[in-house]
Amino acid sequence: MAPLEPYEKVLVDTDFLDEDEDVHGQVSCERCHGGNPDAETMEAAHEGVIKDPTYPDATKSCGECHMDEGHPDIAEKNSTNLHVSLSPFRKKIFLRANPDPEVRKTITGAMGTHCMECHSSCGQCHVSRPQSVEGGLIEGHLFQKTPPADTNCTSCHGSRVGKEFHGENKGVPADVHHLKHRMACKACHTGDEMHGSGMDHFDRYEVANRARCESCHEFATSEEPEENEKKGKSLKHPSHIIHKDTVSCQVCHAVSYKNCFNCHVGKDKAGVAYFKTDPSAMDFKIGMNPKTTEDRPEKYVTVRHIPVSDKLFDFYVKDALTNAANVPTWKFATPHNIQLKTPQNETCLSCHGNNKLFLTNKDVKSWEIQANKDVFVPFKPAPHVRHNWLEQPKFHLTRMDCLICHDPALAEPVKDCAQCHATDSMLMTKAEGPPEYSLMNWNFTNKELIKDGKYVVGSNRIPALDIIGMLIILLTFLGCATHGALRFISRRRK
Amino acid sequence: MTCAIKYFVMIGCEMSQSWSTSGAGSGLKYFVVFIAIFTFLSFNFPIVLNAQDSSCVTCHTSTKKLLEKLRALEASKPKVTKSAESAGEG
Repeated sequence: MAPLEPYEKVLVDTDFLDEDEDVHGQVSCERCHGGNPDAETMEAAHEGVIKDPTYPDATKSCGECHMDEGHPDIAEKNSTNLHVSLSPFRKKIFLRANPDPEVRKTITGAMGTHCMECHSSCGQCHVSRPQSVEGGLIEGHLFQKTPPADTNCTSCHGSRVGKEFHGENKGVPADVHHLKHRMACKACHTGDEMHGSGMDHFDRYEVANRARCESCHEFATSEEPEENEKKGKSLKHPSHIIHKDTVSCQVCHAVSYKNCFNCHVGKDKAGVAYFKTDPSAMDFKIGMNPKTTEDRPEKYVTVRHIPVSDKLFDFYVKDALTNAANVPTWKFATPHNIQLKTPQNETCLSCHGNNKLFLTNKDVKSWEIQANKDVFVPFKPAPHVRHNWLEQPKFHLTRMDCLICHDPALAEPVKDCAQCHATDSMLMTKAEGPPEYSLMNWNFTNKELIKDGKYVVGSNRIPALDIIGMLIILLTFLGCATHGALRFISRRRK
Repeated sequence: MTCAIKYFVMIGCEMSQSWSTSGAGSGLKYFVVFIAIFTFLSFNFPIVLNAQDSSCVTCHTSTKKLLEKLRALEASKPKVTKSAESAGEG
């Protein structure tokens, strides 16, 4: 985002004064911003000017009209809007904080300097850039119904979300919704979500009207969802049924994303606030969802390391975050770099048994082990060990399609050899499919499966043995016939 | 707003009737009622001046004026920059 010149930040477009262009221009400037328009000097005219009349309380500016008509609840919900209140942010820090009231008071002050400036407001979305990125009018004070993504969404949510979505992390592709479908933030994050739910929350993922994949991507039904332009691809792959409510969408469809580590804040000799974070790292980690709810039932979720440390506020007060070791530093995350095909969803075994993908105590510093104990994925034996009831587990795992035994249509996965290895087996009688893959088709048209190295019952015998066997049989008959013929000829001569 | 004006005219009439009985001059009475109504309306219906009529727009719509004023302002004020000690991504 290109920075604005100082004059550009306050330059009002004359279109703003045209009633047909923007009705807000019909309200006098001082009505919202205060100041004294009759003053002789610039200094006197700007005395008492309110830069953003919508923060923190929007009821007196926006609410004067929007409480009664148009958007009755938006201004009313402003005080609990998480973009304005940053309420979960404060609560999460206090979860880590020392219980001493004096220490908490100091932390509140430090947060005011370093953390709580990253808020937004009605004005800082619809009229200007957010103050945390040095403000400046967008479109010369013309009110924007939908805030521009580059100046008002990714200007704050840029380091992680913006770069992921636009593919600005080296070697990581952009989100398919951006790259293929040119979707902007508002396609998923509606105005309704942005204006808040009207309730205070402990966690931003608790917001009921938040963006959800399933709002667009439905399970395949008899009615073809693709006919609706607003609908995304339907979830036809059996993996969606198998992993539903167990694995979050991002576990299969996100790729490497940014993780931030450590953070220290303070003030330099000139009294200017600073922050220091360790270099970020691209990684992909699956962790346990420490708090499953009806709304978020997934057991396995993508987790991201957040920039926090027990020494965060050491500049202001020692032992500020005495409870830091009990609150996870790897947090539930929804990376914005969704792909249809990812390294971990290439095959079932790309994920199952691939321990590198799962968060364990080896991935954290010693002080974080206790904090993340509920997020670590418990060790599970390798798939071939878990399938050791099979005759040749490795052979079955590498040559068979997992979905043959783990067919979501079956009440339970196959666990009996005879279910497949018998003439009247499930494999021979039920495993229907397209003709070229059918296991019931004895014309051996399932050659493509064989070509991929997959096992098909009866198809992987050794052809040389077949030929030798046939030759032996033929030679036996030939030998008998020759012997009989010779005997017949020799008898007639006698 | 029309209702409010009617309401005040009605009150004004009642006041003038009561004052006429008390012997005050009729010209003065109407003047006082007018002032009262005007004051009430100007405080309660203040959206009477739009931005176009405001003297603020004279400067804030002129690139030239803003450049002059802000250059002078920047020269007179110490420049607040980010701390050199900041490191990493925010």
